[in-house]
Amino acid sequence: MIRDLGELEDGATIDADIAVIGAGAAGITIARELIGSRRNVLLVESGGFEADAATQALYEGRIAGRPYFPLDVARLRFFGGSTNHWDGHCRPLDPIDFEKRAWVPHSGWPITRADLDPFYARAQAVCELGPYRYESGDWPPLAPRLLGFAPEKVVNRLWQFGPPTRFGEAYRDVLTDAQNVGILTHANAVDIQVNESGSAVRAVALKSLQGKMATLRPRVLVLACGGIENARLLLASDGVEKAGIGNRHDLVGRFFMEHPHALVAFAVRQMDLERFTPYYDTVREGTTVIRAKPGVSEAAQRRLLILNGCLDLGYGYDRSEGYLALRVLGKALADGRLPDDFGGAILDVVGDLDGMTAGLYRRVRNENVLWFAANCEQVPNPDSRVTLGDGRDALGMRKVRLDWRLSKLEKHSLATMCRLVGEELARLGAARMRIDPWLLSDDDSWRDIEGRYHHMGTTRMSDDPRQGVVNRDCRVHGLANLYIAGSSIFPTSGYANATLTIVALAIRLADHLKAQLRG
Amino acid sequence: MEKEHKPARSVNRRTFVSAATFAALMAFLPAPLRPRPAVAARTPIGWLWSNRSSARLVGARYLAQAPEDRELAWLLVRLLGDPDTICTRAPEALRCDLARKRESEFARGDTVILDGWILSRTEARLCALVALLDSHGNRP
Repeated sequence: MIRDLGELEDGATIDADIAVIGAGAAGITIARELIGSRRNVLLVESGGFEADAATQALYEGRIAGRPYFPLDVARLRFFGGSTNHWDGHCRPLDPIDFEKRAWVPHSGWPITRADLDPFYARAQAVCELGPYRYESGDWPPLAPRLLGFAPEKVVNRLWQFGPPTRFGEAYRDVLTDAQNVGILTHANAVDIQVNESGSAVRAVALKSLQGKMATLRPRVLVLACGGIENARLLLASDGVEKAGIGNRHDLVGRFFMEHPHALVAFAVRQMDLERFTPYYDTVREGTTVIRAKPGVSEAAQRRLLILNGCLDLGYGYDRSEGYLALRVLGKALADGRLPDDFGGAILDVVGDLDGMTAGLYRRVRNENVLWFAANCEQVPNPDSRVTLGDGRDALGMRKVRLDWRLSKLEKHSLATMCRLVGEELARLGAARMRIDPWLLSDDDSWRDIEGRYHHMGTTRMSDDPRQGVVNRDCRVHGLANLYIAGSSIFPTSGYANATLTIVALAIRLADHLKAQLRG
Repeated sequence: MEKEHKPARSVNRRTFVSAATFAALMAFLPAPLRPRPAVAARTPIGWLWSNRSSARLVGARYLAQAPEDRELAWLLVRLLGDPDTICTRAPEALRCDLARKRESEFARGDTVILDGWILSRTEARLCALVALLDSHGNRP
């Protein structure tokens, strides 16, 4: 059943066995897993079923550290959450991502990849993927098409591509039809209220943008609001715990991680472009859509003390500003129109005549080059964090302040990864790589680095309350009935897109809740 | 301690011919490092010297990074061992040796990065050879 907070009486009280705040990949998955569980489940969503500007504006915040996307752009606040703009790239984290590694500060999950494997397998169907197979040997027809990298240095990492699944569209009907699941829209959780000892959640204050209030009284509460918003809500709920809920050890909001992303290298081909098809395009194996990416092997990570990562591969004639601007101009003019930023495009061409000429020359000669973009994990860093800022949103909640920080280890790891892949491409006679010089500079400067809208780590998982906000069951330390779902619980980020792991962990949490409530 | 770059000195014929043969092996350098259209050579082995200007540039950069390789005789030994035996071998055999050496260097990561380009140690040394020969005045 779907209800809207605006339809309820002001000050209404709503009871639920399990309330899930946030209808994104995690929240929808948990609610879906709980269908038929004979427990009263309520899925609470801030927005409606379509994006609207006023709700989206609740995500506005301040960027304090490294430049980052505007926070109201980097995520979506309506039914389906950020799956409404994801591209469906899926891959599990690698086994090494779960390990405590001496060279990666604050690394280590309390669970292993083997613990999560059964849930990854179930997550495949939720994300509308093929079988849970991500090793190149799992796909015999594909394997011979991949480059034969030396496994002690470089390995072929496989991704599967979903449609992509828009969770809101895909699962709205099944949730609506479920007897034991309700959906409450336009209901913003603005305060989590705990008992006097701070050991259990009593209620959640809900508020609509129109000012309608309600009180939610769940037996079990699951926060599934996203990697930034989970921390914000905990920090903002300071009625009893003055530093915020779950924050007795000053961990909530810390360890914010992204997947640093930038163009890092290009290469001149020595093999036909077709040889690289599985890397820059997708390959169909039955109904499964797959792409390969060269990644640094576990052996190399251990030997060279670097982070995990891989390289996205594409191709083109040139990546210079001048040439890319010329392409924009040419395409627009061919369509009989002027480009949106005509003046800017002209300036880019004039300002980078060398690049433009080089690209044009390569195009005339049909000499395309391969380019590589980084997919890298980030070092968990307590100073990379989400805090509450001074401004308030339309609901009166303090806005977030994001201070995203990177370290020298990410840069060193990226440069080393490029070198390993470049050496292997040369050894195989496949291509010759040039690493972007900024990446080789011996400092911590970054150029054009971006994130990928992947917000992780702000309520990290650890069995030790001094090291993590939630335990291995995703329950907040010290609180009997508060759980967290989503990428905020990742202690390390790996390099793989987060959604498949979010869904796997959500299924695992749903199983745990079912067992708990049965007990 | 860094070796001092010795002033140009004469190179005897045997050394020069050996070096020219080795330099020819630079044919396996990546296209972007290859010279612009080769300067027409006037010597009978002029074809060996295609790509020379790029090789010289790359070689000079490598030598700035690896000053220990600035001694020509030392560099030759490091590339192919004893010069006396080198002269008795056919160029194709030398080419195969160097190609194997190059592949092995890429495999074990014995590479250098010059202006972002990844070269095997042998590739870089072959370029250095050209730079050294030119600095000694032995141009074709």
